[in-house]
Amino acid sequence: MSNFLIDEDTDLLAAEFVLGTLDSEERAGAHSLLKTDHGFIAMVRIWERRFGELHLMVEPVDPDVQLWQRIKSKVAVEAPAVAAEGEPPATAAEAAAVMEPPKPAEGAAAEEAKPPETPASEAAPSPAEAAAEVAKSAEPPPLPPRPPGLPPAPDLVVPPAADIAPSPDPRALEAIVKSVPVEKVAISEPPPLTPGFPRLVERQADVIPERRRRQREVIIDVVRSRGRWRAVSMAMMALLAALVGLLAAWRFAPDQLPAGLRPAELMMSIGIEATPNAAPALKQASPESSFDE
Amino acid sequence: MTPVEITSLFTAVARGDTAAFERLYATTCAKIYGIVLRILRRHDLAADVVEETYMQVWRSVGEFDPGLTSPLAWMVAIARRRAIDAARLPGTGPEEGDPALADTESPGVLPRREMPEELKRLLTCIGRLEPDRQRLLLLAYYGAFSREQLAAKLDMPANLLKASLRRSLFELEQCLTS
Repeated sequence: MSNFLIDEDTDLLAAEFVLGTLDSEERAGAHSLLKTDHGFIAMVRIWERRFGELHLMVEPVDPDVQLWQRIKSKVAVEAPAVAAEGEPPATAAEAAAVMEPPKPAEGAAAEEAKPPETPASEAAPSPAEAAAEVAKSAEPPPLPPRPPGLPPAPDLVVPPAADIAPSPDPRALEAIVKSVPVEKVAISEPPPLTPGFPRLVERQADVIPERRRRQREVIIDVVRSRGRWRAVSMAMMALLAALVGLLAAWRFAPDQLPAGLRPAELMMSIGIEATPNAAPALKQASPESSFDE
Repeated sequence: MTPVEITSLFTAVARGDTAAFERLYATTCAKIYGIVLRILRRHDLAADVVEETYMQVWRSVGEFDPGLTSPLAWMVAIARRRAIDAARLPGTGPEEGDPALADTESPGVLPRREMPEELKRLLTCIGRLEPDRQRLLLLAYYGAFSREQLAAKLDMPANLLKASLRRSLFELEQCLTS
């Protein structure tokens, strides 16, 4: 697939995909386009950016405190074998270890949970790249600071529609804006007793020994593979030395070689008709010519 | 927390910093949960989707490009995609959800002075649509209803609704790119 599909229909498909109005069949089609069609992917990104800030108007709702415990335990399983907390990988070996995909410890459910367009290997962040990328962009993004979770002070609340100059009927937006579902949610299911955030008390204990253990495994792997490469290079050196020795023998002491290793014999043994006199004749010619004065 | 602060948390999370990830969760989870709950209208489904969302953030935060979007909008896009996919699965429709939530589809309000330029521009463009289409578009975005569900809600024939929706998106695009 290619960019051929960039047309009005594809654009509207991307818009509806982002908006959320596709039915399950159309959505499945859009998901398979997302795996193959770069034009479609780009359009989806554009529409996500266009609608991106509408989320600011959604009222926050505190989830159950148990939710963090669930996420935390999954993350503890996946936590990469990075070196000390907050430090980027120091050596190439560590970086390579970190770039391995996360351990598939959480099983098929998590695999299914991943979107099709981000296979596991891509989804695993490469910390080196990520750090570089975000460092590159550590400059302030274009958006001004804002507290997303804060409920606005009542006297400052202005329904957005009232400000929209060219709207033919501002009341339409206002009417939509007025009914706030999340309050009903909060009432129908009371908020958890401790809406605050649970501290990760055993975090250090959980994560660090695991991390050290993996680091050790990585080091052992590196040492082993270094040993293998060293053996290979020694063997190559020995072969090279033997060849150099043979060449030197041919050049300086061809008579002392065993018959099987003499050039003529070797050439005959691989099927080339030797001309034994040619080389000696040339050799003798040059000394003679130099002494001939 | 400002986008800059969230971006710096992203940087730490990309290095595998679980404490930064906890802070990221603490500052963003209510927003993400609110968005997902509005789409799914069921706490159990919403919690599952939010969990998947944060796992995806943990794994792929290195792919975030601050040149393209704000960090929160990036997370919201992940959450919405997953929430809408979940809403389209059998047995997760609004009729199975909390009936008290079935008819609630509109957002809260934000003081205009707190709106970033992108949002003001978008709302201005939405405001240029016919009132019925404004409602249609916002209902679609916040509730992520399928066209069929929207047609039933707004009491419109399906083909008319489809044409109206496409017209709205087309006009919106024209306005945003002009």
